[in-house]
Amino acid sequence: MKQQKSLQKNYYGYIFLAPFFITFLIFGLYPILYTLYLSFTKYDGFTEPVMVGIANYSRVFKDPLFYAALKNTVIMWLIGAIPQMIFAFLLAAIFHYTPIKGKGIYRAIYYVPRLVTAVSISALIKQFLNYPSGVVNQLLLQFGVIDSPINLLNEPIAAQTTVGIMHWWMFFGNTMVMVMAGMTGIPKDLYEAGKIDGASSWQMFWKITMPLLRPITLFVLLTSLIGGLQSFEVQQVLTGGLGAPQGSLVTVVMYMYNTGFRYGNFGYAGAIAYYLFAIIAVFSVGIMRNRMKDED
Amino acid sequence: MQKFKIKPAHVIMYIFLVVLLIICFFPFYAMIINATRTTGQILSGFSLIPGSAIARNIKELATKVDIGRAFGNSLLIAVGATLLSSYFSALTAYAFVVYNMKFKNALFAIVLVIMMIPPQLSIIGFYKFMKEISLLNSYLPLILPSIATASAVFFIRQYAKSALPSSLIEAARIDGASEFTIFNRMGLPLMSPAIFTMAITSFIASWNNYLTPLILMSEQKKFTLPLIIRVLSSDVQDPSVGAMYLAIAVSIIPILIVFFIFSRYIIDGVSAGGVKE
Repeated sequence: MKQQKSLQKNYYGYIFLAPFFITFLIFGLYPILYTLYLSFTKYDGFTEPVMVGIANYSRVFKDPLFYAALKNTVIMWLIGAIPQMIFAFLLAAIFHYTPIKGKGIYRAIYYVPRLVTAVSISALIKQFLNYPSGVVNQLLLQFGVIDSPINLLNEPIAAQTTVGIMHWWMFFGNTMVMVMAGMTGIPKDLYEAGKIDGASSWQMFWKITMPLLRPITLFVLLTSLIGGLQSFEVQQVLTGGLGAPQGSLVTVVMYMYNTGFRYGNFGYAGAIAYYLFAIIAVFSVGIMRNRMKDED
Repeated sequence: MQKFKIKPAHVIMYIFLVVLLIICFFPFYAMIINATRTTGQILSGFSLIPGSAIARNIKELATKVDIGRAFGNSLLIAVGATLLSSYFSALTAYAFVVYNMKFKNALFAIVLVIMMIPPQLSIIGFYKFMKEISLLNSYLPLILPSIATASAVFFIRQYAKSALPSSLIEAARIDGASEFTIFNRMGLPLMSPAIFTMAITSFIASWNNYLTPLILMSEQKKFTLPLIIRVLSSDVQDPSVGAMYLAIAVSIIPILIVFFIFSRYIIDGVSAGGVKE
């Protein structure tokens, strides 16, 4: 009797899951499908949407501004992600293989930039980079690195590099923590065996650590790429929403935002959103596969 | 011999670590210092010593924006979102662990897919939808969606798989406790370490949220801190740099405090997100 009773309780599973799925249907799925519908219309935010078929999609396909934004986004991601990965692996290796005093404090402080409001960071850096009298110019002049103030946000490559460095600064600690977690999972006796065979620490890092870290390397790379493709806040605040100089800081999300909310072309913005989603989905499948494998 | 070989490498390593430490913390330090100096002092040169103009900067900031109100708005939204996300993520995770209903695996696969959906995908439709049901300039669209926080469900479920012994739940059922009572009295406490980690994460995420309030809010008195910072920052004519630094500090310092109290939990959460058992 008792056993049967507890089996009958399984329908409570649905009751407990209901708030989550109902909320997702209302605030998640419905807006996503609504965006899809709007992407097939011309909609200015005030008058009724008018169906235009796939016109928005074929327009994105040949839109040089969209590709320019995509290129900017990828360039800024690369400038930040390459040093981000190098620092993350280097630091994780240092903390994992050498007993460092105050390890927890280093780890925590490296992680801080990741948590702080990106908008505030960007506003702060914008003040620092202020031409001609921001903190960066003051320090560079004081130490004699430059003779006259420079305006980093006035030149496309310098501006993109600035954003890349900011992204590095914001995220290397986060990646480091994930890589460290991966290193903890490598059995110690593998290294013991390596030592007996006379391998140097350099050899052991490349022959044991890196191959075993492959899944986590893939994970942090894909996560970083997906995050990079969505980048928006830093560029928006640094440039007051314009993406200057010469549009070099316009990212895909900023282009979508401006198309919709600045120029009132919501249908086209919806199509841009779906293009971005298609690109991101390709990389997400990789992560999903990883996750699903663990479930077995 | 060995010792002499290792030492210089160690010195270089420590220098490297400390330099990085400074790079990570210096911007916040400079921010706090400049928040206490007058605009004139800030523009005339950099200093490592705090000034005495904080009261003046507060007054100057008050003439432009109501930062106290924005702080309150951000806090209200973040607390509301955190409470909803904590309770309902725990409830959802609990259901996936404790019950064996049909389609359980399919439903969980949906949670995994939801985790992967970029938030930008929905904003166009979300904006129009909220406009139609008159929820622009309301806090509800910023708080209620937290009921469905897929990443928190994923994290708490991982933890709950080993933290919820089915024998204990069975025993409570035999004692005649209702399913909701068992969840509230036994499930929540047993899962509390994971819930707590996710609560901190969710508070910070909500505090930092930018895109959603940006598209929904147009009345300045309802603005959250990031929106106020954006308004101040985009005003290029504004000459009061000291007040600007102060406003940025107000938005950043609470996060720094939360982090330094709870850093262990936050970093554990990040680690668990990356590794699989």
